[in-house]
Amino acid sequence: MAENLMEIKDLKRSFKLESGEQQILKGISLDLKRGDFTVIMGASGSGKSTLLYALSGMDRPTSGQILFGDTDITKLSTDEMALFRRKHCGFVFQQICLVDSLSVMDNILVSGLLVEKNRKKVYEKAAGLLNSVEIEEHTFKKLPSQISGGKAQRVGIVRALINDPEILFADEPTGALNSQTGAEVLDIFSKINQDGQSIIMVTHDLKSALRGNRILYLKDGLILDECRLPKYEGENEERRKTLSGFLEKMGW
Amino acid sequence: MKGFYIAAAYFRKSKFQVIIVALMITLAAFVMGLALGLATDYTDNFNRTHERLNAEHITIDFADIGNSGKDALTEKIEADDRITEYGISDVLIGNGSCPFGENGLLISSFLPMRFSDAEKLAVGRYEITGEGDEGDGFIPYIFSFYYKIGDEFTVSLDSGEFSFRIKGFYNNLTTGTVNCKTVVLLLNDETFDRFEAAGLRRGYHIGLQLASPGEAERLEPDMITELSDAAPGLVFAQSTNYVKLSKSRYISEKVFVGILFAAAFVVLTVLLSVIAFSLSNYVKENMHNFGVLKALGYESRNLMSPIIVAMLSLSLAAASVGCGLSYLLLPTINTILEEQSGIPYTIRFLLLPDAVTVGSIALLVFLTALLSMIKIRGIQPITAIKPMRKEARGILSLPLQRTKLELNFALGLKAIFSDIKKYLVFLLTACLITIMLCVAIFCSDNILQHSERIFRCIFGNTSDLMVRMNTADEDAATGWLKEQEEVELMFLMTQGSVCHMEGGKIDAACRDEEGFAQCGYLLLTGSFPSSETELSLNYVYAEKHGLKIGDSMTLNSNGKEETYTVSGLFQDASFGGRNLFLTREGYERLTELYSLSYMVNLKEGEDLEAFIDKIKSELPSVGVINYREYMNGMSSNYIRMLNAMIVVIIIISVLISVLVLSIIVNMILFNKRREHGILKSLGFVTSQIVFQTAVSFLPMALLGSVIGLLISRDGVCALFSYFVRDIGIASFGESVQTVSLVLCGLGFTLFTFAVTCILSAKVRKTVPHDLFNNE
Ligand SMILES: Nc1ncnc2c1ncn2[C@@H]1O[C@H](COP(=O)(O)OP(=O)(O)OP(=O)(O)O)[C@@H](O)[C@H]1O
Ligand SMILES: [Mg+2]
Repeated sequence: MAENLMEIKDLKRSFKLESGEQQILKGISLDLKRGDFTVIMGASGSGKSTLLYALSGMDRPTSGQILFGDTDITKLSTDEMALFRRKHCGFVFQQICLVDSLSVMDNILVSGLLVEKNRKKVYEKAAGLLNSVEIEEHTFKKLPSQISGGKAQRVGIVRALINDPEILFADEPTGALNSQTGAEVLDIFSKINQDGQSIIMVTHDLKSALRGNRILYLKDGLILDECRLPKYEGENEERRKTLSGFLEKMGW
Repeated sequence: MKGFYIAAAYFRKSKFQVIIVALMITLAAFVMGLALGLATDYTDNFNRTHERLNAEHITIDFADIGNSGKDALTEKIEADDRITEYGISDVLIGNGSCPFGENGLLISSFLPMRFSDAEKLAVGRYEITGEGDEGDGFIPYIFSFYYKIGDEFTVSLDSGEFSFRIKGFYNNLTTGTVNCKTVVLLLNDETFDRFEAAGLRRGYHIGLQLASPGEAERLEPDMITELSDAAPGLVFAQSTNYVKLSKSRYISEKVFVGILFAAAFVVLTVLLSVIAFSLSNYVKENMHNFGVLKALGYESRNLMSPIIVAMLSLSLAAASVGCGLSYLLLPTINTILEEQSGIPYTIRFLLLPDAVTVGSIALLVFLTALLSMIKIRGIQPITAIKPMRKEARGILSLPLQRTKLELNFALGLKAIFSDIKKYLVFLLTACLITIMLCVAIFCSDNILQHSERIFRCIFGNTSDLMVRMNTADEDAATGWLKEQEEVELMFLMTQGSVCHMEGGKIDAACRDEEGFAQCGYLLLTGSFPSSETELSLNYVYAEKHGLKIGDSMTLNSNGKEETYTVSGLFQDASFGGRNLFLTREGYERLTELYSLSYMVNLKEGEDLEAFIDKIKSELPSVGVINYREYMNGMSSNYIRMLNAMIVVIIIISVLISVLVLSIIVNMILFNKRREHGILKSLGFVTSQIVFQTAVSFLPMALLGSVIGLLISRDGVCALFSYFVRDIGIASFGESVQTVSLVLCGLGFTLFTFAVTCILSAKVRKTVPHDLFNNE
């Protein structure tokens, strides 16, 4: 049995709106295991992103516990939460979210240098990671606006990995990409997961979801059910059938 | 109606900038309105008062030892067709001093006059500005800053101490202030008789109005000579003229106005660059929308005019408010300036200066807005469809792996390159503000902290005591003084008035060798006179009359003429630039010295008061004046004015820097809210982002200060010397010391850092997930 990465107990999140309080997460309890590629699915507005931000320490839930080792991250101060993110989490966003005014390399260094002060070490690691996602040296100096969306997202992944996070969070990482570049990104995810990286990914898309080995389905602020798959080793019919069957059952 | 929406959209999107711009317009109008009002109406007050009081163009005081002069004087004046109107008042004449200013002393000639006589005067009228129920006499308005109605007024004259109770204060242009050197005391008959009985000499205070007032300065010495010839027994005491008075009464006001105009210039420059920058930024960021509107059929005119009209209305409104607010400060400034000029000024609404202020600010804002939005004309409808082009990177982009700088520091510096225009606006501001601060430092350094520098220029020395004696007592008195161990040094300095044949009345002073040695700092070129045929001359006078070293000058005193060679030029403000130095022997060629003054410096730490008492008891025949008190008395209102000026400069500097910084920081935070969200999601904490923002201003603050300080290091000194040129000071003060400059620059930089930290603290409200919801 794999070791526990995160333990979530009765997690609730509501937003105060003009029309009153809106309950988005209604009491989620869940264990996340180290090494898993967890996929969160659900209808639009079901609270997937809200759950992801809560887990990653970007947003503070209204109540409940999120235990990471011995720490309950919901109890951390805002700055401590930032430190937690910096040390333990990596993010890949749908909108990619590179800093427009920084070059490709600087976008990665800005994150890397937060944790490791040795510039040379960070630079070499970044260059290595960029090479591994097939971004050549002459691109390092370019601005995000000067490269394609697919390349930018690969840069985004390298940035997320630069500090060897314990968990990689991804919110619809292929949402803004075409299917070709999307598949390339997913391949990277699968590869790093095989190398042991824990991933939690929110997606709408069956193709993406197939990469996971544990698929959670969120509905009305609760986890309706989950589906376990073997680790991804390439597309196969059976995997696809199991998952679509599950999703059909969930009413997707 | 469409136009309204376009303007409203700009105001909504740039709410904060619009507020700051409005505040800066208000500030600019405030300062400029004040400066214009002072420069015009305040200065004109002299002429208005002159007219209202039917004031004199020349006044001359004579003592009358023969008691026979009045009829002869009247006859002589009546016969002179250069004189249109005149008044002769019977007065008593005494030279002496009275307490004045803060712990100060006023040395002057004092003329007691019957109040009942003064009331009858048609020329040079006395206007009562404050009056109590009881009391014996009126004193000049300028005293009202240090005395109250009902106080005892005591004046020490040659023949003893005289006191009376103050009944009130009067306004009179020629006998009312420190630089008139004549103080008339308007007394009731009883007090006047008491003074007369105590032995004060009788005399006349003569006021003349001329057919051509501009000639007053030239005619003054002629009049003195002609009138003294009118009757035997007339001894000239004091005189002054309209030209000199109108110049000297408002010297500090001119300096004050100069500073205000400079401040207004700074505020306006910064304001206009902020407007230009805010509007062009708005155009740039809304290229797309403007393109869409153009595609819908809007013309450039339709897009520009609503915003320009809105800016124009804003500036009209804000400038009017600023002008209005300036009236709140006017009373304070008025008090400070009245203390100096001695002429009461009634605050009133000044339509013209205010209209000029509001109008010119609005015009400048209008032109700036027009020029900065002209780019709209170049926007094609197609811009709407094309994606926004991203700016190419500058060369100086500072890749993170290359720098040795701390990460947040490096990110702060990088921010400059991606937003250079905003930082240039701040550079300009920093530069102008440090120049203003330098002016304040210069004043504080040269006048407040090292008052001896200005004292030397104004009083010609910084001695502790002035000892006056009859020539007969000289040997005994100086012999005794030299023996006293409290005395550090002493020198001869005696003053009198002579006549330069080509130029009119001029003040002549003789000094001994020690006296010249002590005032070496006054000498500009050549040397002080070393023989009885040499003289050295105030450079202002020399320039005015085209005199150079080596030229000869003929002087006349009571009919006796002697010729001297100019040996050197000096600066000295004590006589408005009209004075010269002779050796004692040179002086005695012209006139016999009946009485002498010696200046005495005491050793460090000696008790001045105690020594004065000692002199009084040991040397009963000599007169002693506490020269320190005298200098304090003469300068205390200047010092107060300078303090006020320094405060004004600091307040304006702080206001401008805070306003400019808040506008820029706000724009930066707004433009970077996405970037800050990303950084936060990566694990940056608020303090790091605040630091990045604040640090990005440091280079411009430093660079701006360095440029500003380099300009002002010698510039401020030159500027001040220019201001005081007219009164006889060629180079005033010492340039601001490097240490002060460095401290000023560092101080400003630290201030910038602190303010930007506070202003950017609101990034704490940026939370990482805002980023995702907004998109
Ligand atoms: N900061 C917020 N304030 C108010 N309401 C919010 C906030 N964040 C999320 N919500 C609301 O919570 C609900 C869930 O949002 P969430 O982004 O978690 O959905 P999602 O499942 O990720 O949807 P999608 O698939 O469209 O991304 C939505 O109705 C959203 O409007
Ligand atoms: Mg979502």
